[in-house]
Amino acid sequence: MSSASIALGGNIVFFTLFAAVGIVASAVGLTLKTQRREHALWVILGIPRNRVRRILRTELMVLGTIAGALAVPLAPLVAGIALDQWTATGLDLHGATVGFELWHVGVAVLFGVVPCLLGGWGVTRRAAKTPEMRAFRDLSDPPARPGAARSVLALCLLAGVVGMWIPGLGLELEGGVEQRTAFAFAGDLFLICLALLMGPWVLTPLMKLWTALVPSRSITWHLAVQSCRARAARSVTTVLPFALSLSFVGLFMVMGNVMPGSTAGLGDVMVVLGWVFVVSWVGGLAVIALVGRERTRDSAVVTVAGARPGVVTRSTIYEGAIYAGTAILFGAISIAVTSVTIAAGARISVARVLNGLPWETLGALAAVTLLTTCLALALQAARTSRTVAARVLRS
Amino acid sequence: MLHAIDLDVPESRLTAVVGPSGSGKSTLLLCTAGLERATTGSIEILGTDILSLSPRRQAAFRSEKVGFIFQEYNLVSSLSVEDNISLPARLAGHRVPKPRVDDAMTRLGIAKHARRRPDRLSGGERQRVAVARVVANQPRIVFADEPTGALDLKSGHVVLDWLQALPAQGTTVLMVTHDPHAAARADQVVVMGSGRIHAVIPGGDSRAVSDAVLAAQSVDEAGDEAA
Repeated sequence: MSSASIALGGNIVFFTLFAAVGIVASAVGLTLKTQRREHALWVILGIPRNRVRRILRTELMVLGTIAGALAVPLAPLVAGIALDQWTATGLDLHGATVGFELWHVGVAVLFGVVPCLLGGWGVTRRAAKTPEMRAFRDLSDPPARPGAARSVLALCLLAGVVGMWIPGLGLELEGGVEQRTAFAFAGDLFLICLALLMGPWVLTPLMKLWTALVPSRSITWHLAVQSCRARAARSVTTVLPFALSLSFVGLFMVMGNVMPGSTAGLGDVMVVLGWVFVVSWVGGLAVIALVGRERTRDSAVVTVAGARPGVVTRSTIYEGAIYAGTAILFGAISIAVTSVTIAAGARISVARVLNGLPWETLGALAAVTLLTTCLALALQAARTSRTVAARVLRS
Repeated sequence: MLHAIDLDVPESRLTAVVGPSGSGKSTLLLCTAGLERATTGSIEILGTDILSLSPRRQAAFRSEKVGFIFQEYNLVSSLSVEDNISLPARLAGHRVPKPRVDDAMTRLGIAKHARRRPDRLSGGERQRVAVARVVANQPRIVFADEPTGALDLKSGHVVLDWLQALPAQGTTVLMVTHDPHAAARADQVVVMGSGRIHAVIPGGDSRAVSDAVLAAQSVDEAGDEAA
């Protein structure tokens, strides 16, 4: 039982950290990108380029340190809730209690600084390299290609997918079906991580594909689609957190449905993924709020051009639906792939896996995702509708 | 703040509004266009009292009859050049014929950028897109707020050439500018100061425009000192 607790604890820490690092890094990257005009101004005013880069990286370290330090007093609270949750699920915690030691501060600061630097490193390099007038005039950079670090990590994850799928799907193992299924599960996990790591080249085409299939000619939909595509070309952070949480939930539900003695209930899955959800949702909504300034200006142009009342609001809400729709579609594809692979590993039919899934729960999660993103954007639209378009365009 | 403005903008003519900073030029333009709400008085455009229109009718009126060119931020950042050009017509519920959009882009020299988004264009190119939008949609009246303020000399001339050519197609143009040379290209020039109209003079002479603006500024400063 204690090994189960350790495994569960390890899983929770791994998934929560994975989600937090991914979301914080992409949010930091996006924030720096939105400030590129100010950074260009620094260069124009005579600050040397390498000093701009140093200042920005120092900023990131300070930000990460403050975030880590702020996390220290919150950590015992979160740990307490997690331990209560585990106890409620019947796990033997061997008298584990919440404690504090000095090195916890160092670890917290480290986990604050690392994602900030990861997300901001490339952007600060570009901020110092891009011709200042190009950035100052808000001219966009050419589409980014995967950098060296991302490519290496992607190759490692791909190796993980192949390495896990070969024994899981193709070999007869001593551990039998359970071991094969576990390998297939691990391969799927690597695959989802790989797809999320390559988000700009996976989520953006997915968004373009499904929105192109919607047979609407309305201007509100057209504005929303173009807005989502333009923003996704720069950052997929608005979709990534929701795609991450939904695909993980799907994977765990498929696994819980197949493994003997496991369950696919939301409560059980949430024991592992509850904090991932919290991190993803908060991160996703924060990022949606981050791109508000540009959206406000675009809305003002559309209003001045003669948009009837409600057009801008509807189009903004549709944007939320597109972000959520892309995440839901990614989650659905993840469930389809994991169902096929885990069914192959467990030597059962795909239909049996699909029949056993809690579709009502999955549907409810999809609906909550849709509602949350639409609501976040509806609030933004309400704020925008109170501004005077002409003043926005002259500010 | 505007005071006691009584202005008649002649149809199918280019009218420039000049004056010192803070004299109310842009406020006058935005009130006239219905983008800022005037607290009292009436504003009639093409025989329609725009203050009496509901927000829905005002929006419809703008998309069908009015064109805008601002100093910056004229374009929706997420739409391509051709989408930006056809936006007012689409908001009005119909489409600008594609040949007309292509023709406007060709005439403004931006046809090769048709599929690009504004963030891939220079300031001059962005402003040409705004002018192409006016050319393609053929609004009855165009409001231009410092349309050449952020442009180099050559791009500024291109924009002014087009604004000057629009009245020949039956379009009325009301342009706010700081530049006496740009204002001199108008048929009539309205000189403002402290929210009032100081003078309305004929266009054609940039020196006369400069002198009128300086005179308005002197009157304003004398008024400030007396207060």
